[in-house]
Amino acid sequence: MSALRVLVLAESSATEATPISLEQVALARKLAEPSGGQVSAIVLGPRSSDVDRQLISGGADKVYAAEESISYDPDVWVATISHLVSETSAGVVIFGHTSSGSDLAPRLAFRLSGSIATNCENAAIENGMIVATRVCYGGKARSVLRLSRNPAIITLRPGSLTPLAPDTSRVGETKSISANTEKARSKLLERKQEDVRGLRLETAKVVIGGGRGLGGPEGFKLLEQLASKLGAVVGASRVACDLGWCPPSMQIGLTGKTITPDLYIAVGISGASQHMAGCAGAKTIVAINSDAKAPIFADASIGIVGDYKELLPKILDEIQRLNS
Amino acid sequence: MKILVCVKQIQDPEIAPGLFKVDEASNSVVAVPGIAQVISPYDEQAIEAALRIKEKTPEAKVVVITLGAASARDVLKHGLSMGADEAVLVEGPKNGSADGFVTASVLSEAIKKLAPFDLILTGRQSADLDAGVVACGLAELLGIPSVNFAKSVDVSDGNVVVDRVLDNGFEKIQVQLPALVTVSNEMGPARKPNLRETMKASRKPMQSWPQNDVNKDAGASQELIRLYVPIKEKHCEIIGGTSAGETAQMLVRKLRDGRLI
Amino acid sequence: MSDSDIMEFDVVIVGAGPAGLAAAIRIKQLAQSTSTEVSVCVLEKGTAVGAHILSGAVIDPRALSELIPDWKERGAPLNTIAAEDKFVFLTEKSSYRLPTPPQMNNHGNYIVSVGALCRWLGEQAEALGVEIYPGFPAARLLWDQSGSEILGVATGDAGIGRDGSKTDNYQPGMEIRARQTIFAEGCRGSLTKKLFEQLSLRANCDPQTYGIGIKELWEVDSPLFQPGTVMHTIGWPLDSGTYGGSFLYHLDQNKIAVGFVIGLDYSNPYLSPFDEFQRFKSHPKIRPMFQGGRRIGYGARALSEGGYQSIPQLAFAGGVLVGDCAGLLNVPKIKGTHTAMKSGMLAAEAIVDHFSKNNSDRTVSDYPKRLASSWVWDELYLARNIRPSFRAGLFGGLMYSAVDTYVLRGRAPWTFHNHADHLQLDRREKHTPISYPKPDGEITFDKMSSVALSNTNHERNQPVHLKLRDPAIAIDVNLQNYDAPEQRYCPAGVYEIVRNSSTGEPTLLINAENCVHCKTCDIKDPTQNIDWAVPEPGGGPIYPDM
Repeated sequence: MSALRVLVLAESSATEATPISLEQVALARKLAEPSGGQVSAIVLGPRSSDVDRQLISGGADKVYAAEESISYDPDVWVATISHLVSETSAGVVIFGHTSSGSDLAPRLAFRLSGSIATNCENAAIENGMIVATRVCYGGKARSVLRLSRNPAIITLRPGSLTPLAPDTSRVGETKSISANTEKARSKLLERKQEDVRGLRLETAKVVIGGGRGLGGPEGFKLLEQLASKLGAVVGASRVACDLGWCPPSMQIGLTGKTITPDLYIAVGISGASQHMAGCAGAKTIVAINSDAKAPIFADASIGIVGDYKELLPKILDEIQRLNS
Repeated sequence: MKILVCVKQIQDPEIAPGLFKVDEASNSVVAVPGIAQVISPYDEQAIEAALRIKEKTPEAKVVVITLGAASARDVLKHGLSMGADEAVLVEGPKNGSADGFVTASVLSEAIKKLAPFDLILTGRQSADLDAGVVACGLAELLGIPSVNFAKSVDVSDGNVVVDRVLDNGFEKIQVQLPALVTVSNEMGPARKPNLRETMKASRKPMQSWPQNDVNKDAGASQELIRLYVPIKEKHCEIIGGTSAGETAQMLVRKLRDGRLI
Repeated sequence: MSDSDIMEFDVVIVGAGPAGLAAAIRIKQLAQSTSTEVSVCVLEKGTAVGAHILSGAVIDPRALSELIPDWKERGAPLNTIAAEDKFVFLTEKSSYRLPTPPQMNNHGNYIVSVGALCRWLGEQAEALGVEIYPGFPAARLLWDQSGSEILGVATGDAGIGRDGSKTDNYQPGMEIRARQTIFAEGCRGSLTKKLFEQLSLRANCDPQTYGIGIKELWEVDSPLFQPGTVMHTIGWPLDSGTYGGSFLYHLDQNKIAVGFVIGLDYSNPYLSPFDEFQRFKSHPKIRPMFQGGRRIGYGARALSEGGYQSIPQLAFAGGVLVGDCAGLLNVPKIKGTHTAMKSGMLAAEAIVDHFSKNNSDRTVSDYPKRLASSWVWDELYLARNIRPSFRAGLFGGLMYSAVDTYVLRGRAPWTFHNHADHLQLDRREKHTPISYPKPDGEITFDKMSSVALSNTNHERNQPVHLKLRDPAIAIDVNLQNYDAPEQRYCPAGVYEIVRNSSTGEPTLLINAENCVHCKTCDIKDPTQNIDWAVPEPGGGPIYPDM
């Protein structure tokens, strides 16, 4: 088998690679290693040498970085990535299953007539071909796909894998690339990055989620109170977001965030598989719901059937009492 | 203005989880007898988005299109009952093809026959395969710009303006028509069919095109090796005190003992 | 309401069950044969035809054969011929086979899903030009100014909030006016109930009596599975004063329909039909059939047991009653599909005749006459004393039934009367609470995981469709005197007494979104304080071929 080149689209802030990027690099390493292949990361957004170092110590051999941060535009980004894929003859491209990754990956797949599996939990090489396990049927099932065309493009669900332990002895080079901007067809009128809560959700150790059962946006105030006591981050079910009770960045689920906390307290959340797909990685789920038939009780390890409006204040009191 | 909405018929994703069953021998989901298949909810929201545009631009014509078996007429009828004007069934396998390349290719050929059009709307992903591949593919094959994950869609002066949902916020994007936009669940609930539109629906035009008429062999890009339901090994312990206070105490102790808080 | 919210048809049919669809098909058949145009619209509250249908069921194909003689060629879903027929008496540990009563002999009958049958009938009806609108319940009666004539029905409004105000999704209902309205709502129809009250249609008959049927559908993996097997049991776990028993039908494809029917004239307020059913499945004779199987359906529905004595006035100005909302079920046979279909057909024939004669009388009085001279009447007349005789207890009832069937052959010169079910409940002091075994999660289940399998769903933000005439009665009477029996007779866990955590004060919580539309609360509430109304369009169970 010839050496497999794997490309990872890394996302980062100016100083730090996102956790999912490091998961992608870990997966890339796993796929490239057996054939003695190479892992390259592309960073098109804001970055610094810190980010490069992080990616390299996380498993990348090379970082292709835009000299200047390229504002997100799917046409520009896809053209730039596509060019790099051809140039490096990458056999696999791994995106995060994020709002940009799931925006770019299918476009790239069609642009290059490759094959694609989105929403993956893992991938492996079998008989020289990429085999990916992905989440489907609203989180109820998994499918395993063999990707038969080159390149194989994958989007990886955040929280699916553990990043490699950083190895600072690793060395790698950073090569600068330039954007292919002539393809731009869309105009950005406004970008609102309203809060960082969404990003914190994915790394939080304790998460409190609210759903339709809260009865309205006011219920979330009670959750925030509890969250501040526990150092937790508040998230929400899809319905609560769709009803406008909280911003979509708080959504936990198949089309929202994937969380992997030690403790997830789900309040007034029925537990549709859509939602559970986003919190299945929680170590302990506590469900509080007035509806005893809510399917969440089947997924929770601790359940309370009751009215959250009565319960939460008592829980707050109790924590207060224990802390004092 | 002509708006095309691509929709898909799927097994009802809201049925009791206990009824969801996979036949591992054939790698397929076992249909629940007696339970009607439905329109994929994201696609239903795409119709909603189209109808909201139509409310502001009454001359707009909304055409619903699907790739599927004869039974998929039901989801087209659903779209017409919501208020769409016309429908096209592209005959194919039940619930469409699992290969996004094949689906996009077949649909793009059909859509070319419906040209000229201004806007294509569809759900961000089908609620069965949850892949989210076909829409972008369609835009690529048709050579038009596309915007993913819309929370709202507005059309004005030959442009479409989309509020696109990001992981941590929104962006407002403008692209020139013709364009394709995928609709996310943040669009909010779709309207229910009302009786008057439903009564009219059977008299609205519904075309049926045999697939060979529009198909171009795209070649498979993937192979399904296995479909399975992950095993859950959880047992829920229900805590119940005689009062909310007692229950709260029991819970907090338990979490404290488990070093979770 | 503006004109644009009114549609007119010759006939509107409320309910796409066997009776309503048979009527629709018959009307179109007759119109076709005489080359006349009769427009027919069917309103159905289920989101799809068959979604709300729940029945045993072994059916007698007699009416179907009269309606569509070539049903076999047309692919009607009658796939399993009822074969072996067992009638069994259970004690806690044992079982005894009894001679199968002739009414229960199922020779020539079929084990079917009535849901599937209705879907098929719906297709036949649509092919004939019937317009069927599932997901649009008829919510109101349209009266003329005098309040004595029915002009049609109106569908319910959608998008009304829990507090009664209009939400963003508000959509007003629509008036469907018709020359004749056929009410085919099934047992205890909510519009039928209003007709009874306003037109005094029950003035000359006995009160209706009812049973509640709870059913599960299983996929089994058992050597005891044998397609076509029909078994009915009586006895354990019910006491001999409570009328009821089980049915167990082996369908094709390893499916078993199992259910339990209990007469709603039971007296012990602590009785829980749901738990009796679960307990029944744990009997050593029954349990092995389900071992290792998978439960794939759950639901419940009330059925009429009053029979001949309780049949109300069936035709009135502007409309007729057909099927089980007219109470046409044959109790000893435990079958009502054939009588329901036949009544629909007879109503259709009478109505088409009435139209063709340009009869200006708005009452199709010919329909009850035709029914009275049909085989439906003979069946119900001959069976009329069997069910009431069980008021003497199980053994008295069995003995009387044997004499009535074998010696008198239904022609006794007397007719027992029926009593109203809600009046039969004893006060709590007369009984002690029943302690039901805990569900094992394999063969027996709790109520909530059961309800989840009915796929029932209601928009939460809508007025509660189970209306208390006087909310205070729920506590002052129901809880005080009967220990809130609605908590137990409701098979869907809709009713729940919750106590304030600090004051201990009880209130009745109505979890309306769990409702499976069985109508038991509307029937059994001791002071008739609960009115079941149709919920917002789209609400209710989605039964998988039940």
